[in-house]
Amino acid sequence: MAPATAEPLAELAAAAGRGDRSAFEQLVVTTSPGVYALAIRLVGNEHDASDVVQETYLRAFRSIDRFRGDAAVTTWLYRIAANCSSTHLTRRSKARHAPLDDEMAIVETRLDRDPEAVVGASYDRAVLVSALERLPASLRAVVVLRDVYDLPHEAIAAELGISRAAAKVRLHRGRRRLRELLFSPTELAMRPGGIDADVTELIPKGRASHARAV
Amino acid sequence: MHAPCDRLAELMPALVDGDEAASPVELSHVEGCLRCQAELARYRRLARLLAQLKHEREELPPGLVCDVLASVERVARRGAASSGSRRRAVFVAGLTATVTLGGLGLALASRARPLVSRGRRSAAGL
Ligand SMILES: [Zn+2]
Repeated sequence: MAPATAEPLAELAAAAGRGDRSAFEQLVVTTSPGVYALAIRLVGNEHDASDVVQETYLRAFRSIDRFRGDAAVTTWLYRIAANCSSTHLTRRSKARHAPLDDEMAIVETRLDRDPEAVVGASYDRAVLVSALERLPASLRAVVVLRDVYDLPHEAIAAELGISRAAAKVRLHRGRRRLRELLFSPTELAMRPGGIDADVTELIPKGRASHARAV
Repeated sequence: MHAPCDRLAELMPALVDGDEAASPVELSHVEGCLRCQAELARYRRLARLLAQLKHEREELPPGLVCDVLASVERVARRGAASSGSRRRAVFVAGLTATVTLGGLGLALASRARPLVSRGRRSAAGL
């Protein structure tokens, strides 16, 4: 039997690829909370996210023997989950006769939760998650995959079935929309402060000292 | 009018992580413009907050892991049947025990349902 402690995911994946079923099961047990979290972000509700998790691991199981280990196991799973989520969202929007771009998240928004009850970082997080849920699904997918899960543009474009250029356009549009939701117009949504440290980061390193002197 | 600021505000979602590069003229404007620096800082803060979500884990709905493993079992069984692989068939037969043991490691046992009791239908039609 496999040890109960988590083995490095790459070893589990390699063993699973050789037909070790208990290794695959351990892989599911270990990685599914993260895959489920991604699915929730992408499809917006627990029911659809559960379906996405199911499909993700079925596909992973079918192709695990071809997993080469040149990408992280989690990245590989996240890509599959992104593709499954995209299929799911397309199917859902067709069922509603609504184009994907217009589809808003159907989960409840939580912006109106009592601000006194959640403070600091958890308040920022709650506001951010709520803003993400308000994005059209097509924009949210790209922002989540790029800015949260750090997938390359190429991977995102491939899994969503769009061009790299389209993925970038959606990413930038999604970021702008989030910025408007979080900081506009009076910036009451987010706590003030803590931003000054960042302002020189855009400037190339050689010029940073000059920038600070300005 | 704030023409450079407005143009840079449009570009900012692409500039913030280097998807696009600002021209030298635009860069030097940002260096001297508090308004643009504040806007950039908002995008930086947004990026930081988004990145923090990566490590979040959601507690799975009860039974989901078992449902996933049951679906995998069905697929494997079908594969074993079609390939006629005896070794795999024997392996599949031992699945129920392994699932239970795997679940124990992450304290899933208390929530785990009997593997064979309920077949959650996957949207993939499997
Ligand atoms: Zn400016």
